[in-house]
Amino acid sequence: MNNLIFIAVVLAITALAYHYGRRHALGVVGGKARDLHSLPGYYGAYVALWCLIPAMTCAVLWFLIEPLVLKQMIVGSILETRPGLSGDEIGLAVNEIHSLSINAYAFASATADKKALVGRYLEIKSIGSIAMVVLAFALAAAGLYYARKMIAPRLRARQAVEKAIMCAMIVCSTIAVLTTIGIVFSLLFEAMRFFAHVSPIDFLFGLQWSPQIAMRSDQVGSSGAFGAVPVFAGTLLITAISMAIAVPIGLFSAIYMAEYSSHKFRAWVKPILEVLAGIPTVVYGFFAALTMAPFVRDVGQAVGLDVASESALAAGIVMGIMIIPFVSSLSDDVINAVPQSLRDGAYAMGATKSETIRQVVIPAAFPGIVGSIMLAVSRAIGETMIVVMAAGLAANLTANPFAAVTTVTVQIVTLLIGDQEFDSPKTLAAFALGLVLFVVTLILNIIALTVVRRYREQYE
Amino acid sequence: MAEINVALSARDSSAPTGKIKLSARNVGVFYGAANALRDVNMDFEEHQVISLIGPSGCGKSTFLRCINRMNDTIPGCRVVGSINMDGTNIYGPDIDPVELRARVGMVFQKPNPFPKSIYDNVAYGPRIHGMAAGKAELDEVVEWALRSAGLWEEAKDRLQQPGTGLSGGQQQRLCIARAIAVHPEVILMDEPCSALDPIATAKIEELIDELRRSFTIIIVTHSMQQAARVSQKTAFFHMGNLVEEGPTDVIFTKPHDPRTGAYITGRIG
Ligand SMILES: Nc1ncnc2c1ncn2[C@@H]1O[C@H](COP(=O)(O)OP(=O)(O)OP(=O)(O)O)[C@@H](O)[C@H]1O
Ligand SMILES: [Mg+2]
Repeated sequence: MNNLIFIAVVLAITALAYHYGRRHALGVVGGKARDLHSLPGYYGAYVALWCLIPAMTCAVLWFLIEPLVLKQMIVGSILETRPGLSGDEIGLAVNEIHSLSINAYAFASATADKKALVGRYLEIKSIGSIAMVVLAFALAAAGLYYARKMIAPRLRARQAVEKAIMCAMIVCSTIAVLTTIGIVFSLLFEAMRFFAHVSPIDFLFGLQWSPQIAMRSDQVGSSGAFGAVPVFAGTLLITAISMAIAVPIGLFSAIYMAEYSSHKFRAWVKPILEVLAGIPTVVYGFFAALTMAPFVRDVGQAVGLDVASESALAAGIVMGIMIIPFVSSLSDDVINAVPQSLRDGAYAMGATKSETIRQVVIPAAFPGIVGSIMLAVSRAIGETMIVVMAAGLAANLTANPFAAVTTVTVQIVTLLIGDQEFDSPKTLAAFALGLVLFVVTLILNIIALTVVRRYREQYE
Repeated sequence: MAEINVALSARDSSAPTGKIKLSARNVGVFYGAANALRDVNMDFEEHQVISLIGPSGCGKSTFLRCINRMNDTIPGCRVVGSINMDGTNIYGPDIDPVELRARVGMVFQKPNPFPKSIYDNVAYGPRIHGMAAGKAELDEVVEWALRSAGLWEEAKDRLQQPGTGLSGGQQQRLCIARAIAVHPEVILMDEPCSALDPIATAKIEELIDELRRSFTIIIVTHSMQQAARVSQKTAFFHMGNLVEEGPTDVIFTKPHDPRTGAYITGRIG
């Protein structure tokens, strides 16, 4: 709560600083905004930033170093009451006091010694916070004073403000990049731990996937096999089925909407198609498990095929339906973006409508269409819910679409919701699967990008 | 190649006949309810360059698009009247606009090469109309079209590179090559030089004069000098009406209608 109030006050000061800076800048030139280098608002923003940035930097820094400082300060007091503690024990004691300080119930039942320590801890903490707040306001005031002194008709306030905005953007994009790197490294780190138990060769090329591990040493038959090939084959099979559904239907409906349909039809159908993309995947899962899977089984039996009640085909079809709008909506947009002058050129050459579309419009829209298909593929690879509900959990190594299969994402989920301890190979296998999935999608994306780029070079 | 030359020289010998290639009768165009063009009556002689001039929005492009039925592709556009080509009404019930457009080529104001190689751009028309029997024949047609459009020397070493990589003037000549590759009888040009510099313009004007020997050319232009330089006949449009037409030198020196004179001397526009 305290922090919220602090932020609110800083923002209020910033707002005031903005108005003050603006008024002051106008005052300097006697109200003639024309004599200022930048618009008055930029001077306001200049002053406001000089208040906001130092104060917020101070607060953020304090937020980062507060635990360290507090620890340093309390260690002395702990050693006074309990001399001769080792390094680890000191760490534990500090943690205990920290948790007592935020848990009133535990605090009530603590010993008097500890209560005293907690009191001291809280005292140091509040002194630190007050010092930080005072420092932050002092910095804000100093910034205000400095910025006010800088304001002059020739001050390039716009450049300064725009530079600050650019820095903010750089920080944001750095955060995005760092998060990605962080995710990759955490995956990598856990996967390494898995590969300490299971050799990468066995994992990547093994044909047997049954990640059950004996929980007790006298249990039999569950030594665990971590050959990931069946799992990846399942992902591949279901993705292929769903793309076989989504790409033709999506592409043809996009072409129809963009080139043949009336405006009215398009205005109705496009939003309806896009609703498909908004349906939660669990709902698709129901549809797949309760409607599509029995239907596929009945049809299969009618023609004399042996179909499992949970089949790759059912899940793949429903997933394909789910992905249609990704392909159709994006492709429709890129086809619409093809300049009319190209169509006119083809018509004027005596091309028919379908020749124009096939030979001129689609090639011109090709990079965008590939992009939409790539997006659809990554959706299909990452989809979990439909597969859990309709394709089963059995890791069969098969290319038969009527058999039950499982996919990488499904296995990751089932591996992690078990009650194994966290560093068992079974749990860690999830990270290895995740890592391989990440690498596969990365490679797919790189291939798609190169295709698109080569095509662009050729045709733009 | 030999056949083409024969065809060309045959056309050459027929050049001075003064035969009527196209005749427009009571042509009018409506965009929805708006009447953009009224009652145009005009004849076009074979192997002539006819220029259409007039202030912006007077209906020149609209009329030009009537001649290859490109107006059919504009939703809500309706054409009335008739245009006869070699005596047949191109708005007749048994005329396929797609076939018609193979006989009446068009070059647009903004160069619009397809996103394909230079070769494929020129070969596009012959391919869709099945005009070349094999690769060798297609090569010949492409070379002939590029030569006729004055682009061969610049393009012969980069035929497989994208047409969009050429300069604006080269792209426009590529579009002309693309149009003539199907051996149309008439070529329509809608301000073909408005995006080009004087040198590229001069090249295209020279080209138009060359092409006249083989084709009938109708050109829309905003440049009086260009109309005077390239055309034998000029038609002046104003607010959806054909005001006056006649030999170019007459239109430019002794126009009948005061509006024509006013436009040419720059007093209306
Ligand atoms: N697709 C269209 N839909 C509706 N009205 C149109 C359309 N195209 C042209 N018009 C109208 O028809 C009239 C004639 O237009 P047109 O393009 O033929 O003029 P223009 O003589 O070619 O002019 P410019 O010299 O500027 O090219 C104009 O009033 C224009 O607004
Ligand atoms: Mg025009």
